[in-house]
Amino acid sequence: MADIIIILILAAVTFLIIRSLLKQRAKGGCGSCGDGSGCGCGCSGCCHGKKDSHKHN
Amino acid sequence: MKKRIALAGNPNSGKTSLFNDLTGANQYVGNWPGVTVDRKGGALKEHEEVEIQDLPGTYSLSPFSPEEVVSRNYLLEEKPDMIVNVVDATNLERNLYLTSQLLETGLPIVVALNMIDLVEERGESIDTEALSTRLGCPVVKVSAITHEGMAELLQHMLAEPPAPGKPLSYAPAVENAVADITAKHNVTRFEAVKMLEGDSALLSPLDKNERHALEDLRMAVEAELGDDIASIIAGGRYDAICAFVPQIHTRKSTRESFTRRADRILTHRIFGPIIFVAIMYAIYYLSINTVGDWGTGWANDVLFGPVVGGWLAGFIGNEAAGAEALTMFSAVLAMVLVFPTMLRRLHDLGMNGAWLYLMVAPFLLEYVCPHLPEVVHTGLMYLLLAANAVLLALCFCRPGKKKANDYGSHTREFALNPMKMTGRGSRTEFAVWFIIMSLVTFSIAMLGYARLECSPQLQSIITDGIVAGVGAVLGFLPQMAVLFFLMALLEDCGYMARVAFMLDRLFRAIGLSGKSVIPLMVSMGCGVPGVMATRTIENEKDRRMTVMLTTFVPCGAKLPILALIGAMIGQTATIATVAYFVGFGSVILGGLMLRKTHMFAGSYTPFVMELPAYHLPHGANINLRAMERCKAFVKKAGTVIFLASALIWTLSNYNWSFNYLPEQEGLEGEPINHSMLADTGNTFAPLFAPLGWGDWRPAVATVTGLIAKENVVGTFGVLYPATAQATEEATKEEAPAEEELPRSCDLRKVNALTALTLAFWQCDNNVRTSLPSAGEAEAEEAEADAAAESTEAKSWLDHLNALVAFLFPEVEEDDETSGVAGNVKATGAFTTLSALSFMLFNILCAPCFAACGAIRREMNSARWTWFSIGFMCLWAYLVSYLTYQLGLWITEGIFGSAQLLACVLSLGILYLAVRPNPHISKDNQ
Repeated sequence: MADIIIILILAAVTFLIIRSLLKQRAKGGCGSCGDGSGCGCGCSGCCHGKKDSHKHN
Repeated sequence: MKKRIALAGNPNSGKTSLFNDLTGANQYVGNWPGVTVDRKGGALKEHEEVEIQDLPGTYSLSPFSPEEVVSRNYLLEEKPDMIVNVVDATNLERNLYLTSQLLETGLPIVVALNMIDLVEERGESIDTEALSTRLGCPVVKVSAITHEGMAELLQHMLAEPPAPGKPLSYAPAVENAVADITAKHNVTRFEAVKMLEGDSALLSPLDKNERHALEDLRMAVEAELGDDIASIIAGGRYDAICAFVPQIHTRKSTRESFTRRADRILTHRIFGPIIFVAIMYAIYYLSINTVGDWGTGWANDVLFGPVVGGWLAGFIGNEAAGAEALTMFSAVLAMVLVFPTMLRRLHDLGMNGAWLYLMVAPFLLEYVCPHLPEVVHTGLMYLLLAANAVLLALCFCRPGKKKANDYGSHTREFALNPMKMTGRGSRTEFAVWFIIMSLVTFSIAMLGYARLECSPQLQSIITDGIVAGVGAVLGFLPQMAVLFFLMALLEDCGYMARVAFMLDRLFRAIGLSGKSVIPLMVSMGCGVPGVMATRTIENEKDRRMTVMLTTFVPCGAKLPILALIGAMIGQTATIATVAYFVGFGSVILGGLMLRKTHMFAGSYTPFVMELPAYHLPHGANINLRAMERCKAFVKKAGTVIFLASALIWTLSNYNWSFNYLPEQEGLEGEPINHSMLADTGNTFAPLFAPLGWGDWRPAVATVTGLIAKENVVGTFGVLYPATAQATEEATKEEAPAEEELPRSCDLRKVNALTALTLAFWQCDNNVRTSLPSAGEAEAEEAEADAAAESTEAKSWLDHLNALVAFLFPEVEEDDETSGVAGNVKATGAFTTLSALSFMLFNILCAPCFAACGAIRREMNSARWTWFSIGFMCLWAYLVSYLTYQLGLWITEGIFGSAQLLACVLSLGILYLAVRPNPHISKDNQ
């Protein structure tokens, strides 16, 4: 039972991580402003990569 | 319909700072020109109907550079409802040149005189009314740093667009020609002037006869005024500007400015580079050896050791969780979950200094307390507790105050509260969040008593896999935070622009593009924006070459590798500084060699860069940048490294038949050597044997480093678990603290004290009271009772001291290397030379996948991308090979065929770098 609980927790965390990574990738940009995919360094520099579709709201 | 406002201005005039203030975005703000290479959009804060476009900085609207094309196309084709022309008030004449072009577009303009605070500091003044009258448009004094004038600027932005301004006048011959073109082609004044100048973009739609007519007109003007048309137009604009600026700008003729005097030394041909090396060493020393190291040592030895380990052992294992470990665990959790909420609330109360107190007080006490009598020390600790209690009480009791039109607050809030857990705080909101977070903290801490007794495999994947991997990376966070903070400080005060200037001088001397400097500087933070910053380089060959070289500069993600190897070797700051300059050296050598090949031959592009005035660093900017990067680092550790660590654990604990190796019997040697990962690693590990690290573990770590460079350290954390010897040493260090109550109130204790205060003492008390009733075995129960009794006999302060002493054992002067570096060192897997070789390879080889993706996008060619990655890997291999083999020769006197080959290769590289450029004469012709 305990194993199942922990496996479920790990599976949920893994799912959330993969989902957030895929979301970032789908949006494009760098991820630091919540709008991006790339390195995640936090500098927002690569947000320039997306031209017209990129909005910071 | 949305109102569209464009921010236009010269490079480094503060557009992005203004954009961040107005929209609440957190765009990268660099104190050097050329940071913004594309436009960005955002909604005005609290006015969603207004859209703001931050255009790249340009000196003019001529379509020469990519930034100019982006700005010009937007202004001419999309015609925004209003332009906010951001003008650097400290360089009025030069900035008004662009203003003169913007006025000609016929679009409504508001001029924002930015950096007015610096002008006023100099004792100078600008008559905005006179300037407004002359330009025919509103002029507002603002300061993006101090937020002065932002409210007035906002009023203009929200109001109806003003009438188009009054363009400056040219010589009569030019004016006649412009009027002629305007009438004939029905274009704006700006377009007419550009057509007269022969702007190809505007001339291309015209037919041949029209182009000839314009050519004749241009020749007539040139003949009349005796100069070429570009000089006539530019000269006309500058003449008009210089005619009225002295009347509106009251200058104070003073002695040489501070900036000029400082630059004489800091950009000196000889002293400049020496000072730069000294500064970089100091930065690495501070971040890795001192301030950051305290935090990293604590994270490695305590947080991810007895604290998280103890909690996990109690949660998923069957071990009695230590009360002290659980208390500390809850305190750390409270720091993460509750502390930001409190900081946010204090900020809303206008107590911006409070967070500083919480940060600085421990440092002050660290140095003050050891010299004070015990009674004072005790008093100070009480005082700190009382101050924290008062702050907490204020958070609950005082109503929040909202500042009207405080458009800088969002940025500051973001810097102060990266968790963004609460909205703008009311008392109720704070109280609800505070209580929820405290309960969450308490509940999670209490899980340490769950004793779920999971299977050994599950326990191992969590403790030896995920916690070891993520913990190994997160352990470097304090060092990274200090490094990011110091680098942001250097950049914000204007020094990094001088570094770019010095490098440009060096680059020009060896025939590299001066424009390559900015991508390199940006790459010090991260390679992805560094690669993207190469867009400002017009010359395709230069751009490709810069893309190939820019990731040689060690980015922030490589710092954990430097710190790890530095800790193993024992010369951390020196190693990090050397690695940094090896990166720059590789750029120079690589550039020298590539420039002389057919693919990259050509003349270099001249680079004009403006050096900003030195100014005191702006706390919010630095905070924002350092916090953003730390947050991204934590995020990466919690996502990519988390998954990678779990995967690496799985691959290193199971064989191809999917049997769990630690439970297999009859295996030769370590079970891990029979794993899938070992088998895979062993296939390519021999490739690295000439570099001194042919074992499969470092080979695998190098490959996993391609996912994210931090993963090298995370992989080491999983593959080099603490050995029995290391554990024994750690136990020895932890043991004696209970009885000896250290008098000095050092940093570690006060930090714990603050953390504990924040946790409300609630967890501590609950943990302690719940300990005897946890239903232990008899012997354990007796021990626990005895401990509880002895606890009650002491005052709470003694109790706290005992707890702190347990958690922060006094470190001996000859303290051995701790954490993952200690584990790796204990295995003897690396010698000093092989560790250096490993570090250099990982710094210089192909960057992470994100950066490779950026290279692919910028190169726009799979062939060039693979060529770049191949070049980087080959160069990294060569440098590591030479380091290891020549190092063996020098240090141990070994000379064989490998060393001979290394000598030949060194000579080959030297020849390729210094040989005359076979293409230069042809190109010059």
